[in-house]
Amino acid sequence: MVHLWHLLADACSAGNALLVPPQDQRFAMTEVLDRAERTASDVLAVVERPRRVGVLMANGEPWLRGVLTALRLDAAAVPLPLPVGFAGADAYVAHLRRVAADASLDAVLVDSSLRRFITSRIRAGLDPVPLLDITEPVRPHGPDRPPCGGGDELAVIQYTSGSTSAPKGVTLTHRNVASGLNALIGGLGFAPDDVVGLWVPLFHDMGLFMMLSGLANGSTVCLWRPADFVRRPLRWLTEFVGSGATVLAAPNFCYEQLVEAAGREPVPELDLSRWRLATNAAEMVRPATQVAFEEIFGRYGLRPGVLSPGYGMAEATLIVSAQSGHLGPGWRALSVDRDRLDAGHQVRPVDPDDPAARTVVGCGPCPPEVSARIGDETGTAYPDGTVGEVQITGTPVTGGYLNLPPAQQPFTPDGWLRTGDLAFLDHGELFIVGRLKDMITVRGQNYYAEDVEEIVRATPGIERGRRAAIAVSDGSDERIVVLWETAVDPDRASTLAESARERVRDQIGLAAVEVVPVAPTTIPHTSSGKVRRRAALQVYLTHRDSRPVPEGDPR
Amino acid sequence: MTIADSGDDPADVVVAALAAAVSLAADQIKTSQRLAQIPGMESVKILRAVVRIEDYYHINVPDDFLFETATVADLIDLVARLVKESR
Repeated sequence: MVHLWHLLADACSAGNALLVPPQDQRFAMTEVLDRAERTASDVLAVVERPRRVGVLMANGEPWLRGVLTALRLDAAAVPLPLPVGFAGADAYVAHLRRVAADASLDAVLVDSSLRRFITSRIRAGLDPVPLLDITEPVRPHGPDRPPCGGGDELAVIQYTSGSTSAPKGVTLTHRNVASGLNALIGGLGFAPDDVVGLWVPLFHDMGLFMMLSGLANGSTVCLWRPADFVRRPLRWLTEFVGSGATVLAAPNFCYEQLVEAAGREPVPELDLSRWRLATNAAEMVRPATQVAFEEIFGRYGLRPGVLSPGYGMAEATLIVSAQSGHLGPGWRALSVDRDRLDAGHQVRPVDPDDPAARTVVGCGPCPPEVSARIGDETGTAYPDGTVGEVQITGTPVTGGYLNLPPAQQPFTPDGWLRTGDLAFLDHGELFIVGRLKDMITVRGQNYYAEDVEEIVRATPGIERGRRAAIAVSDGSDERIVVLWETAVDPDRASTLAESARERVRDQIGLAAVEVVPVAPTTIPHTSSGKVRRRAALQVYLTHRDSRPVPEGDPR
Repeated sequence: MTIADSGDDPADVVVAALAAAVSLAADQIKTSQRLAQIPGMESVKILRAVVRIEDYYHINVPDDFLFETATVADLIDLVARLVKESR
C-alpha cells in the first residue's frame, strides 16, 4: 500500500537536497528525513496520537519537515495560511480557528519565522490546540513505531476552497497524492536532473505539490519566500538561475512582475538557456504576459515554449492539464467571440482584431492520471468547442471536502468532480474562459462574491439597500462587483461605497473590488427573488461604459 | 516631495516612499494610518516602497515586520531604529 513517507524516503538520497538560497542553507534530503524522524518524537512527547497536524510557518526547511513529520506519524498534514495580504489580525485568527475546528487539529507546528506577537495571538486563538515550535529537532531519535496505514488514509487536507465563513478542506489520501505527484512528474516532463525552484507559499497547493513532486522525482528543490521575489524580482531571477533551478511554477503575476521590472531597471547579465519549464498557473493566464515575457527574456537565452500555461487545483492534488515546457509543442491562443462564452454555447472563432474578440490561452492536455470533460450539471458531456463546466476524474482527484454532507459534495451523478470552472476543449487542450461560481482567483487565492457581499452589507450606512455581488472576468482582469441599490445622494453614496471597499480589503485582503451604487429597483431579479446574474452583469457593464473616462485612462 | 529630496529624516523618507507607491501627495499620508488603509495600497506596493527605503538608507527591513497590521508611524520607528543601528 502506498505511503507518502516511504515514497518520498525512497526517492530521496544524499544526492538531492533542499536549498534555501537567501539563508545560504543546504540540507541533504537524507538529513531532512532524519530531522523529521526526530521532530516526530518531539511531537509525540506532547500529543500521544496525532491524527491531524497543522503546519504554519514561512517557506523553509521546517515547513517541509513539518509535512514529513505529519506523514511519519500517520497524521494528515493541514497547511495553514500565513497572514498575507491585508486581512486584519482578528479576521486572520478567526479564520485559523474555523479551520482548526473543521479539521479537528491535534497540534499546529510553527517555527521561528512567526513573530512572537503573531504567535501569541494565534496561540490564544487556537487554544487548546498546542502550538509546537519545530525550528530545531530536540530528541536524538525517531519514534520506534514505523509508519503504517497510507493508501486510502488522509495524507493532506488542503483548505483552498470555500468562503472565509465556511472554509472547505480538500481531502487527499496517500493514494491521491502519490498519483498526483506522478501526474506532475509525467505531465510537466520532469527530467532526472531537473532542479525545482519555488517562491510561492508552500501552504498553497501549487507550492506544496510542486515541492513534493520535485522530491518524488529525486530532484533538488530550492526555496525562496514570496517577499524575496516581490521585493526585487530581477535579483530573485538572478538567484534562481544561479541556484541551477530548471523548473519554476508561479502565477501569471510572477511573469508580469518580471516583465515590468525589466522595463524599469537594467536587467543583469543572465543566461536563461538552462531554464526548461516555467509553468504559468493558479490564476488566469494572460496572453499579453506570455508574449512580453518570451520577447524580453528571449534576449537572455530563454527558449521558446519554456513559459507554459497550466491549469490545476488542490482537488486534483494539483495538475489537471499543462504544457510540458520546451520539449512540448509550445502554447496556443485562440481568439473567440466573447459573447458566446456561456455554458452550452459553441465557441465562435473570430479575427484577433475583431471588437468582440477575446483571446484565450490553451492550458495543455491532461496527464494520463487525470481525465477532463466539458459537461453540464447532470454530467452530460459536450462536444469539443462547446463551453461548459470542467469536470474531472482520476486517481489524484479528491473524494470530497471534509465534513460536508454528500448532497453538498461537488460531484456529478456519475462521480466526476465539478470544478466550477468554464472551459472548452480544442484538440485535447483545455481553454479556460471563466467560472460558473461567483468567485475570482487572485494569485492563487480564491475570493467569493458571497463573502464580499456580507462585508459590504455590514458597512454602516449600506445595510438598507438591496445588493447583488457578482464576479466579473474578461480574461485579463478579474474583480468582484457589488451593485448596491440606494437613493442617497451620489457624493454620499460614493463615500459609503469607498468605505465598503476598504472594509473588504481590510477583512479579506482583496483589492479587486468595486462597490457600485445604482438606483433603486435596478438590480434584475427572478420572480422567486434571486438575482439574475447575467442581467446584473449587464447593468454593471452599462454603468462602467457610461462613466466619464478620466484623462490618461486608455479604456 | 520625492524620496530623492526628502532629506535624512526617516519620517519624511518613509512617507515619500509610501506616497510615491500609490501616487499620492505626501501630505495625504497620515502617520496614524495603518499601511493597509492608505488609499490604493496593496501588499506588493508596500514591499516596493520598502525596497526604495532600504536602497536609500542601505538597510534591510526584516521580512517578519508586520506589514499587515502596522501603521505608518510603526514603519517610521522601525526604519529610524535600523538607520541608527547601521551608523
